[in-house]
Amino acid sequence: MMIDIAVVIPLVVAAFAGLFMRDNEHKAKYVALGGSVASLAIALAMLFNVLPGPPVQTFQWFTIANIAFNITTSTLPLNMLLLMIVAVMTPLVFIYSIGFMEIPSEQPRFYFEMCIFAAAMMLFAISYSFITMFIAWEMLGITSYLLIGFWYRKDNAPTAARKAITTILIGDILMLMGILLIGVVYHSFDFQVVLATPVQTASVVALLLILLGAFTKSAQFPFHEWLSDAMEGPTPVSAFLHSSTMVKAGVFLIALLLPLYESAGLLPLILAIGLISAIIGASNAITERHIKKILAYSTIEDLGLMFVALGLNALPAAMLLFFVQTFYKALLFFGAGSLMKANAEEEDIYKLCCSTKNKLVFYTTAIAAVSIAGIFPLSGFFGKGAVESAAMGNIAVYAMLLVVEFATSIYIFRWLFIPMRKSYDDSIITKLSYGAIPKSMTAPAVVLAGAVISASLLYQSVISYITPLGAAAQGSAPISLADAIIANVLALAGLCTAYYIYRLGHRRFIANPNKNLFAAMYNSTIVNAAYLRIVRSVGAVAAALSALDFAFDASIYALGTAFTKAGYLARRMVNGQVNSYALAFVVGFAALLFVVFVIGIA
Amino acid sequence: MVQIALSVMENVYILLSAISAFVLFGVIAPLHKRKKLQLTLSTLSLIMVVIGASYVFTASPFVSTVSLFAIYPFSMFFVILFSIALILINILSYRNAKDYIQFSTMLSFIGLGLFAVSMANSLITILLGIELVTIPTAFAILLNGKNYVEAAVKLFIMAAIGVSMIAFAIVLLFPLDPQLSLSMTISNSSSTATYLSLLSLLLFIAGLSFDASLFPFNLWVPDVYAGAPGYITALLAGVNKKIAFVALFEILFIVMAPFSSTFALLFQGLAIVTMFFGNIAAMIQDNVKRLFAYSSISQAGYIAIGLATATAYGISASIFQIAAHMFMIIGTFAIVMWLEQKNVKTLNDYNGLSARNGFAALSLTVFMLSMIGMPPLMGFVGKFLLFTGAISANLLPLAVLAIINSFISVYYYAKVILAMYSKREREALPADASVNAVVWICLILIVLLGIYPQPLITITSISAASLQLLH
Repeated sequence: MMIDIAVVIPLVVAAFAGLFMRDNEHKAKYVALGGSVASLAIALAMLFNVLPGPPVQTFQWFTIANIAFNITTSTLPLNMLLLMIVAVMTPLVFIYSIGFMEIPSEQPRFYFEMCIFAAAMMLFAISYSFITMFIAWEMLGITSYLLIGFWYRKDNAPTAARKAITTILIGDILMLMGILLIGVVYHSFDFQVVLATPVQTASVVALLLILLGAFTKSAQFPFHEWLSDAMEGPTPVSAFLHSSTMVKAGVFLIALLLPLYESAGLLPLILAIGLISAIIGASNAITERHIKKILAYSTIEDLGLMFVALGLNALPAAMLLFFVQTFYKALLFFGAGSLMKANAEEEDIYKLCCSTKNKLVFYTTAIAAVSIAGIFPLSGFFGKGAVESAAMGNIAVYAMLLVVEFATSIYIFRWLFIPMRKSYDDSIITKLSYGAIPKSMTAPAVVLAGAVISASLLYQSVISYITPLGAAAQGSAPISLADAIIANVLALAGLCTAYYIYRLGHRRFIANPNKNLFAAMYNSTIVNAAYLRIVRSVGAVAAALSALDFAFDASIYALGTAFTKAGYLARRMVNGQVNSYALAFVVGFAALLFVVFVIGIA
Repeated sequence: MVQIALSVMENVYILLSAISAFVLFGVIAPLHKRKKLQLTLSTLSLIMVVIGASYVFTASPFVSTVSLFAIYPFSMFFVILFSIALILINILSYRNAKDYIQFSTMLSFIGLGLFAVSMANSLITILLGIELVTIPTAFAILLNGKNYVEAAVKLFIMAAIGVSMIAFAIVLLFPLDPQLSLSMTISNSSSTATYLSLLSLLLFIAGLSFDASLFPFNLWVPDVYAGAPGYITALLAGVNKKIAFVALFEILFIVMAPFSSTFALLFQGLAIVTMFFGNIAAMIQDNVKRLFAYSSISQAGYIAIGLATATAYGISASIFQIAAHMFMIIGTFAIVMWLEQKNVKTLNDYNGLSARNGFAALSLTVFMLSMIGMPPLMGFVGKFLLFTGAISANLLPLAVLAIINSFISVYYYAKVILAMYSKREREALPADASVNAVVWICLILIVLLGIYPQPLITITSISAASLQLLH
């Protein structure tokens, strides 16, 4: 049996237990926290091989037409890496939520959805067959829809949730097609079977479909716009979604199946999409004003970089960035949430002020910013350095990565510096409540800041932990000295530029911004217009179809009338008279005799 | 773990004594007239039957104790299934039967008949078993008072016709084997023998189609189902109908196996007309109990698809669907009965049920979704197996017609669901403990075996395969 599935159980139990706590709504958070800690304990037990059983465990669900639908789980290094990330982040996010989510009546719903969200991601982390993976994948999609639309009374939240679910469902359908094709080609859905079988032409199509599904989930071009709209959800959800759950799923799946993509020759596509997404993410982040959307575009960029590393077949580098990104991105969101709370839920960075008033929030956020900029010796440097070093063989890719690196440094320090400014408007100052940020919101941030610093110490051990994965033994993820110097100089240059422009207030560079350049960089509106155009053209097809539909409707209606008439006929047969039933009996028997002896089918 | 090592024969004795105990408790119940005691004793003895039968099932022996009985996976599976159904009916009738003690006596006869048909090794056993099931059912309806005389008499007369046809059919086979054992050989040598055997086959089909509610032998079904009290309707739809299918399996695939191409063709026709009759007539029903009576007719049509395929896969699919429909319909009629007592009968009365009793509305919805064939419920697995069975037996048109019928059925099921979830504020309906117990058991089984059907599929395919062993 699959003992690994135990890691999900405490969270699911906590989810339902909390949901039914109608009388003590405020206690739902402690139930959820308890569940997440229990899950973390089980995950740790799995990490240290306390639980019995082989690494890959299969449970036969059912078999149809010689295709086994198996629930397979694994504790191989790659799976454990993601599982540990999720298991560690869940309690931290839940603690942060205690301070964030103050309305008692919303708490049971919030923690129910969060627990199921976390449980789905843990199931995804340990899944080792397409069946298990797809179940978790769908659960992630549905719970993320619910969480993005959590404040369903707000104007934009339902729209954003609908946009997210539409994009994700497009990916899910492509994914399902790919998975079914895999089943037809390989007669199995287990990763170990699929990974061990050589790639065929049909499976290239299947892999392409799965790749598109992964791009939608990981918000890669051209499916990236839902992620910035997803900021309508509560901040803990954003922190969770961007650091450890949901968007990481796509990257992780491709990382698991990387040997297949290599032999199918799809790596250049992954590389190209990753690069485009990274550039789009960075350019939008520089021009955006919404405090959380900047971070969302930054996530698109990070995920793009991971895909670049995968496209270069540098799995350890990708996974290293995958690992370190968790901590700095969650920390940035924690900081953003705290700032917004202190500024009466203001979301525009130009209207936020005095962020240095709460030292704890400011310094932890600054640590995260330095880390994402890739400045030595914080963990972000190792992740980005590994990816850039892997790209050094290809000078064009490397150059683009350096541009992205420089842009990252500028936008993240812009994000950090602008809210530092002091306000002289009394009406704003009186609204500030930096003192009121609860400890439950700062404590997880401190823990994460510690993780951001210490993750660089784990650099070698993470790499050596991933490498033994049999299918992808690409060796280590070296960071070249040249790249380390170039990247750090660029990052520091970005820091200085941002300081000069945004902190010292030399805004003459952007006093009269070139409108065309701005439009090119802030291309979110263009993409959204393109989405709209696609939707409209689909709408035109739908209009044409609705004309057909009218005829179809009429025929269905006629058919329905005919059925109803037949129904009355049937009712007339059942007239309550036993003798007519007996007559029917005789007629039926006579019909049987007729069929067999007269027509002679025997 | 302590292993209790019992030989196969000892297990068989345990099983037979548990069955005898169940019957005995039913017969002596009118002497002590203690309802609670009778409920406990009969439920415990049925649980013993389940345990005994599952021991023999897993041991998979092939013992023909007396020439009348055979113990093999097929018979043991149905002994287990019917025991569970009897437990459910027993719980359901405890509070709702007008005279539980007398009903309990009738139920013990019905149980004996069910076990006799399941374990039959002779045509006489089947005949006696069918009679033991139908006649006490008619009396059980009668026990509820003058209002139920019409339904009881209708059932009695139609049952008499059905049983007499089976008796004629058996008489025709007498020259072939005076023992009337199921393992008799039907020879195709002389034309007269073939002629008589074919006639016998048709009489069997007609006689058993009465209980299996296949069109056109089923016109009594809506009247009697709607006219009988709810717990007996559950018995009729969940148990009596199924035992006719068990008898059909035994007679067709053991005795009449040489004529498999003939009866397969006949059952294609019967399945199609029955599905259409049930579904189309259900569309215009206003009385919910009648609606479910027609719906259960259409379900009999689906089950008949397995007989039409005449393959081991098709039989196992039919067996799976029998189990699925048994739990769906017993749960459904439990709720319908409880609502009928609250004077909630027509579709109009069902409006706003969800606000009055959320659990009843939700569970009825689950049962109906399962009947439609919605994954991941048990009904979906049953229909899926049946349709794939038909396709693999080269009966694609039959499968297509069955799928069309599934779509038609959505119409009237959706009507009920929409009514239940429409908004209308009315007073709440208090729940009934015994109804809720039965509904919970059915719900859990339907969801569990829908999500993880593999064990039951394995068991049904073992049962279906063992059927051919008996010959």
